[in-house]
Amino acid sequence: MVQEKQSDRQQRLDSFLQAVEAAQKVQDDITKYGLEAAHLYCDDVDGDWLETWEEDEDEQQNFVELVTNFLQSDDLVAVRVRKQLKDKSIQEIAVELEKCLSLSEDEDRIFAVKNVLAGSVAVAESNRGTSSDEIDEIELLDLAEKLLEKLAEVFEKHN
Amino acid sequence: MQAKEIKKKLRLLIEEASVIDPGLTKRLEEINRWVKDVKPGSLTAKRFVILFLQQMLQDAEVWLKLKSLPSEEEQQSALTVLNPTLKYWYGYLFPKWLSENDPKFYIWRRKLMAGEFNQEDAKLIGSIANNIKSSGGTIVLRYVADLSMATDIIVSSTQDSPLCIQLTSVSEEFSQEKFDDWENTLIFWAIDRGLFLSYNPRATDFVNQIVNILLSNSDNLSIGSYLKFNL
Repeated sequence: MVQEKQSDRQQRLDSFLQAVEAAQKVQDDITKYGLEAAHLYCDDVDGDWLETWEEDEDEQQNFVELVTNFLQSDDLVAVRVRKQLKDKSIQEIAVELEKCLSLSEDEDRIFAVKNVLAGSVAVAESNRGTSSDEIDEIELLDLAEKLLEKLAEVFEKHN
Repeated sequence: MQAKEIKKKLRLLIEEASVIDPGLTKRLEEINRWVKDVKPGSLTAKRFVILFLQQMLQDAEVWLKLKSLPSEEEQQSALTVLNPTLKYWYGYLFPKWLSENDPKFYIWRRKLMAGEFNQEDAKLIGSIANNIKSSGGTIVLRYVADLSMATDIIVSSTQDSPLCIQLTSVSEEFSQEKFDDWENTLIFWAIDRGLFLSYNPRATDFVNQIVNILLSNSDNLSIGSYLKFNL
């Protein structure tokens, strides 16, 4: 048990240090290439993104609102999610789910949602099978799948 | 990555920050509004905005990971793993910038749009940075430090005491006003010491000389000193 806690702590520290390393990488690239380093981080630097920055702003702001509304509803999946994550605020859950949905592969999305439901620290791109209890794992995957279906319905209705 | 995805990431971080640190949410929202209003005034503006955003997103991510650690003790202990310069940035200056009103923030945009943002000394700062690293020192360079805190580079040497440094070429007309403005800016951010170094780019071996001065002042400059040094 103590060992498990220690390794969780180490995992959190590693994840923090990785983020610091990524930040320092940006610094080093700027020192090395000057403003041209922008091309390393963006494929369309000279495109019209700055001129169109304001567009589709509303759509993105609505995302969390839609998910929040769903999670507050009487829908059975929403009730199960709330019960599963009773220590988190609805908004927190919605934000984490948005992160999961931004992943491009279906399978990655399901596993990321499962991790959120398991209350894992990080939403990694494909962090599979972190729990030792296989029954829980299957139940969570099932709930993750149902939740993704429900969210897809919500968005379809909205758009 | 497309610029659109950078924007999406910014929105995600704004939402994520809203449950962890309202100070960061406010700043990121401000940045989003700020970018909306930037009208590219020069060819370099877009490059700068991309790099600024990238740097900001990475720092925001570091900050959120730090603040999400479950106890104050764990957060402090994570900071102590960093080198002293990074520890100063993430443990002091960056959070200070998140929590204070930054009087210079909107001046940057004006400068950028007017094409006044230049990177003339970028190459020199790059050589200085490499040189310091190979001498065993550590550095932090951030646009926020440069533009809001009058700090081109933060340096620590053997004594692990970070020093904020502003570099000026003597060919730029030196004025007391510039020095006073620098000193006031450092005091505003409660940066307790600093070095304002003017150098002559025509002198021989000036990069090595600058590096030696920076490293030695980082070790020896006393608290409360805002030193002007002419090389």
